[in-house]
Amino acid sequence: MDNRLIERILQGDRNAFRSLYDEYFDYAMRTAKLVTKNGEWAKDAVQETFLRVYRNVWQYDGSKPFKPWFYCILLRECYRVMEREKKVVPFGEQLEKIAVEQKLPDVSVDVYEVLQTLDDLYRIPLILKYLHDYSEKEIADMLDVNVNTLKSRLLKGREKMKKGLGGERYGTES
Amino acid sequence: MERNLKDKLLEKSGYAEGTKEEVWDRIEAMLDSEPAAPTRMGTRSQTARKQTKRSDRTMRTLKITMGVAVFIMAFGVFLAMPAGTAFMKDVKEWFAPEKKVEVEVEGQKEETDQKLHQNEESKYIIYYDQERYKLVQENGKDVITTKEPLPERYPEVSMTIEQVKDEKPEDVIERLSGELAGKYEDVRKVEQVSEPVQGYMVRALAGKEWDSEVVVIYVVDNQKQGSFTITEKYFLEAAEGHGARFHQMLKEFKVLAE
Repeated sequence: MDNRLIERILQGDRNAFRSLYDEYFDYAMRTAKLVTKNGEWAKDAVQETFLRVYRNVWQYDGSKPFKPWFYCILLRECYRVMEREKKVVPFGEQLEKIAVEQKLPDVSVDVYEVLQTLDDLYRIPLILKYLHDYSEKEIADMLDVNVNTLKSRLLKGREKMKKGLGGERYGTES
Repeated sequence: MERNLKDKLLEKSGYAEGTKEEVWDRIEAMLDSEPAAPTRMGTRSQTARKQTKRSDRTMRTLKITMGVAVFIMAFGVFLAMPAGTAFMKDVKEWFAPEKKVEVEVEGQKEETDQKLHQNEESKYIIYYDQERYKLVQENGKDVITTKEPLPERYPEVSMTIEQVKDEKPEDVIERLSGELAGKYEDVRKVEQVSEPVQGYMVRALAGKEWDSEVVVIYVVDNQKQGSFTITEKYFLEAAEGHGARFHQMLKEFKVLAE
C-alpha cells in the first residue's frame, strides 16, 4: 500500500479512497463470503470494513504493512455481522460438530464443506492460504500470531480436513 | 487436493457482477450523510467538503444557533451579576453552566447535555457529557470517567487533566512519550496538533485486539511557562465511541487568563 495514498485518504480525498477500494474489494469480498458463509452478510461486513478504514485511517501505522491492519478490521466486521445475525456457533459446539461429523471414507465428501465445518482457529488460516496464496509469514502477521503457532494451526487444520474427508491424505505438511 | 480446495474456494467465494458498485454506493451514501468524522482530526479536503455540503450547512446552522444561545445565556448571567463585580473576578460567569452539543458517534449524530467544569486553581474550563460521564477530582487531577463502572474485562476508560507547573509543553511531551515507549508496544511519533486542542499529541496502542488499550496524550501550554497534560485512555473498539466523545469534549477545553 502506497503511503501517499493513505495520506490522501487522511486528507479526505474520496478518489484515493476509491483507489484503495478497487485494490482491496475482491480480496475483502471473497474472504468475507467464505468467513461468514453468506453473500449478504459478506456485503455488510465489507461495507463496514471500508467505512472503518476511512474513518480510522489515522490509526494505521505507515511503517507497517497495510494488509494485516486491513485484515484485522475485516475479520472483526465479519464476526460482528455474524454475531448480529445470531449465527455464530459457540466454540464448544463447533468442536462437538467436528467430532461427530467425522465421516467414513466417501469420495462424494466435498473439501469445501469439510473446511467450513472446521473451527475458525483452523478454518481462517486455511482460507487465507488457499484462497489468496499468502505466505505463512503474511498470514501470521494478519492474525497477529507467531509463525510457529500459525504453522501448527495449518498442520492441525489439514489433519482435521483429512479426517473429515474420511482419512484421505490432504495436502503437504509445512 | 490442494488444487481442488483452491478451486473450490474461488468458486464458492464468487459474487455477482454488480456487487462491487452496489457496496460502493452504500459506502458513499453513508459517507455523504455524515459531517467530518471527529476521529479524522478535521483533516478533510475541499473535495470531501463539497461532498458533505448539505451536512456542513446543517452543522453550521446548529453551531450558529448554539453560539447565539450561549451568548444570550452568558449575557443574562452578566446582567444578573451584582453591580461592581470585576470583569475577570469570576470567569465562570462567562460560560454557560450547561449547554447542548451535537456529537457524532459511529456515524450517528446525537445531542448531548454538557456541563461546565471550572478548575479554579489550575485556571481552565471544560464541558463534559454529564449523561455518560462524571468528573472526579483526585490528587490534584481532574478525571472524567464513565458514570457507571465498566465490567472488569474492559480496559480503563477515562480522560485525565493535570497541570504541570514550570515544565514547558515540548519537554513534557518528550518525557511522556518516553514513558509510553516503555509500556506500550506501538507508540507513534509526537505530532503538533491544532485540534481538538492547540499543542502536542502522542498516541500509543497496546495491540490490535478489540480490547487493546489506547492512550492518547495531549500537552497544552498553560500560558504561565507550564503545561496541561490531557490523557485519554480507552480501548481499540471504543475509538469511535469514547474516543470520539473525548475528542468532542476536548474541543471545549480552554485555558483561562489570570
